[in-house]
Amino acid sequence: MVKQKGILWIIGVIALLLLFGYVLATAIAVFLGRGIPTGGNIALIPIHGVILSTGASSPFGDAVASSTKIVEFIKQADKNPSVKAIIFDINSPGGSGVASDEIATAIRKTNKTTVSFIREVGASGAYWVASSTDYVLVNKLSYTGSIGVLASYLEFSGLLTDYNVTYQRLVAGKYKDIGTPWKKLTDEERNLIQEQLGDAHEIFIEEVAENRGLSVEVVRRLATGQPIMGYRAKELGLVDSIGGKDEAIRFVEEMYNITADVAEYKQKVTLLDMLASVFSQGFYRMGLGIGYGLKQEQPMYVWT
Amino acid sequence: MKKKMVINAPIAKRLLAFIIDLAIIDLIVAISFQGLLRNLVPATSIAQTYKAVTMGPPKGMYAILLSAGLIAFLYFYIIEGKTGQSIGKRIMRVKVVSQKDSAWGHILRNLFIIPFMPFILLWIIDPVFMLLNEDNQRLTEYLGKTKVVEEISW
Repeated sequence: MVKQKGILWIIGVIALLLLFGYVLATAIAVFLGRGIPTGGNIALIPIHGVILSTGASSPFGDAVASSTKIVEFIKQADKNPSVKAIIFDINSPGGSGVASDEIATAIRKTNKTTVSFIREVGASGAYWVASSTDYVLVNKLSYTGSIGVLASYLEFSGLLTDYNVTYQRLVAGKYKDIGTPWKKLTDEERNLIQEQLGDAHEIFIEEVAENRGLSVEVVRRLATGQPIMGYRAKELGLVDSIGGKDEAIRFVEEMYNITADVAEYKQKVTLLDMLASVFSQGFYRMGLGIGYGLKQEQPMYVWT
Repeated sequence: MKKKMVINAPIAKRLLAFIIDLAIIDLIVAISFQGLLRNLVPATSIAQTYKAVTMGPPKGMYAILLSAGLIAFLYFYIIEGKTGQSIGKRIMRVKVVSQKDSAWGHILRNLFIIPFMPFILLWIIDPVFMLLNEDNQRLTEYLGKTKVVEEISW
């Protein structure tokens, strides 16, 4: 009887240790948040949401594809000897020119075969990223292309006047407050911004031309900023094939004569990331004011 | 009428008991951490695992090691402290006895299981001391006044 009690008691302790282990594992996973697996022969990296340099998706805001994290994923996949190819799952309207270029540059630097497939949207900066991969697939109804840049914003000088509010301009450097929504944009300032947009546009065109093996003139003709549907993008040579994830995986399998073991490099959001994002978005919107807090309105921010 | 005698547990029996306990602890850790480990360590092949690990320990590995050490420590401390016998010792019919039953003695004897410095040094010091000690005690057992014995009857 004593022996039986001892055995039951030991089983109970083992069960409690198992439970304790689960609690510890969960705690580590929550605070780690990293989604870099070390297995698999195909790395799948999602690019979902607006492409920005930093930031994480929050439950209260837009999805964000952080170029910092994506570049890190690309580097890790590149270092992993078991990974044969990297597939990018793209569903993004684009975003910051800098962030898009960071990802595109990291893709070009990798030694692995890169494949991208565009889902609903792979436009502007997201198309820039897709075009830098070795093989691009798109759904026939996807929206892609949109090769252009924008820096539009809402200007509130009239509203201030209506409410008898004055913008007190105090600057050292005459273009220091260029693009502020609290005053009218002068012709000189407009021309300055437009010139910079033109330069950014030209860089975008040249990048796509080089990536896709098209002439700059051909791409420039297509670079009106208009979104192009997938089937049309194929006809124009902006993408390689109509297809999705399955076709992208099959492409890699046939190229390397392997059976795919796909490891998804998720941009896991830790509890701390979510809290930071909520607070930073809140302070960001408060700090910039109502006009800046409007969705997709970023003065002097070049968007592709 | 059977005669009984208590002798110092042979080192071989102690070693076997420890291997059994280690297997049980590994099972507990593997089951609890399987989700986390699947993300950190590749399951493709031993060669790939070796390559991945030598690229540098994945982030979180130290936390997992510490957790495994803590689970192992609690396994021995709770079970041996309460019953005198871990599962491995129960199977090998040896048990822990204490000159003065104190929690400190049980803590000391199980410090070697913690996988970080300076406790890792006990992996060398303890066995060497055991070989030189007439009661087959490890250093931490000697300091904590515990030892492992076997009850034989004939």
